[in-house]
Amino acid sequence: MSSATDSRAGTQRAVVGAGKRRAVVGAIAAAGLASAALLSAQGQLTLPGLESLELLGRFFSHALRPALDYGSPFVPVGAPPLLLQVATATWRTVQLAVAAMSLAVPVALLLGFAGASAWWRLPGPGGRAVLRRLGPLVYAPARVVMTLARSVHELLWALLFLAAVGLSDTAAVLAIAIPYAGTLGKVFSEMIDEAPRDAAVQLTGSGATAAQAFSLALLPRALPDMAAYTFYRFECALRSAAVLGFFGPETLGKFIRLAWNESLYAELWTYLYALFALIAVSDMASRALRQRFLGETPAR
Amino acid sequence: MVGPSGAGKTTLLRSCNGTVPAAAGGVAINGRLLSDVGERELRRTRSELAFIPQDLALVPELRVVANVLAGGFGRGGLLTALRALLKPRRADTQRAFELLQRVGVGDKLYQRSDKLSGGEQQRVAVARALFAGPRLLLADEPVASVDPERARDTLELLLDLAREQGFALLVSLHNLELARGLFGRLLGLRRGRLLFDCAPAELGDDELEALYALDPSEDEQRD
Repeated sequence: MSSATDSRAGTQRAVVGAGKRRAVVGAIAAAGLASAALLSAQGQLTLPGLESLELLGRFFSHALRPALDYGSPFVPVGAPPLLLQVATATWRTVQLAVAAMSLAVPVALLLGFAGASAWWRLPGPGGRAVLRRLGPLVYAPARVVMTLARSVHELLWALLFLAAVGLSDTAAVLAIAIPYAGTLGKVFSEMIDEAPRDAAVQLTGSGATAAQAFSLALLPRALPDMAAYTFYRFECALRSAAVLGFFGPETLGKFIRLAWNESLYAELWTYLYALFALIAVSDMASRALRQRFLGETPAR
Repeated sequence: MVGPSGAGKTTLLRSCNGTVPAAAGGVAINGRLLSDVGERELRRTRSELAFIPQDLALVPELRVVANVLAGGFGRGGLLTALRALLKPRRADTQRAFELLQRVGVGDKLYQRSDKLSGGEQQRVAVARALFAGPRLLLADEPVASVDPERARDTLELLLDLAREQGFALLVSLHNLELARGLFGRLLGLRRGRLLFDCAPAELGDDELEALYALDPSEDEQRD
């Protein structure tokens, strides 16, 4: 009797679920069509003309023949050989990204711990009452700071610095470090809060304090994800460092812009390939490091 | 402690160390109600209780030794926890090794806990429970997920340890046969109420039937 009711209720739920899914997919499709219609009505969604197609063709035709030396006759006097230039720009990109991350990660760890609710909402004795009262006073400001820091994109920070003091290398590092600290901190805090709490509850049940449970039963569970995310953000920092070159610092972006401005597509591709290689190498390095220190299986 | 699913076995065990507050009545340990004692005393009381939950609740990313040492955190501060994680004291490691040896997985001391089989992890959880030298060990369905032969071994191990180290043992079990064969005192729980509390020999067929009988009126209520 009761099982029959259950299965009927289950079928109904499944039907409702399918209906809801259809509604969501339909709504997304409708929104897409509506915005396309809106854009073309305002004349913003024009098909590319012949001229720009030609430009694209010229650009991609050089993909398989990147320059190994300067192709243009107008090489400044005293310019280093092209490949050395590429290597230097790549190295500058790495330096900028490393500098930005080495500022962003410690700040993000502090903000992430403060902005997690696990350390003051964990059950268990040991200064619990004090933590409960203190928690919101630390938690709320930390979340506000993280939100402020990451709501402005690194390009906007860069433009701000550019207007204020000119985009020196220091300013470029800060432009990346500020929003990255906000993003990393937010994700860290969520990873800590989402770690399974069974072991933490178990420990407090046998007399451990909330602080002990936090550091031994929650942090180790969040750490592999936090490390993986940090490596991913490092990759993003490499890209951001390259792009900030458009505004001055001598990273890959600066030379990509110069090559593009002068239609030197072969050289452009050389710099692009350097960027690809940089991202690929950082990906391999992060995987090797995670396997070595966090005992992750190669499958991940 | 035996009874059908939903009888309240886990809730009762968890209320014994105060992780689930008693909705009615109370739990007294050493003559003091858990709901009356302050945080400091609750912590000291808890450090004399060990609890093995059904899902074991090991920290899978940590080495076995750190998980075993976690059983002794009731008598230390944050520093004790960090030491267990990074550089355990030699004496503690030695004790952890001896306990693991006693339960049969001494060679796993430095392995990552999630690399162990289910049965091995269970033994690590037993070693963790014993680390602080408890006066009462609460075990929630310790044999729910192991095969019948292993089940008997595990329960016998717990009973042997209880005799050796002189602690009381309260175990919740699904399997009535195992409970009758191995334990000296049976508590029958059904829908949050105690049906019987007696030695296995005194247990009559009527009580058993009442314990596991399907009651249609109760199912109606649940719907």
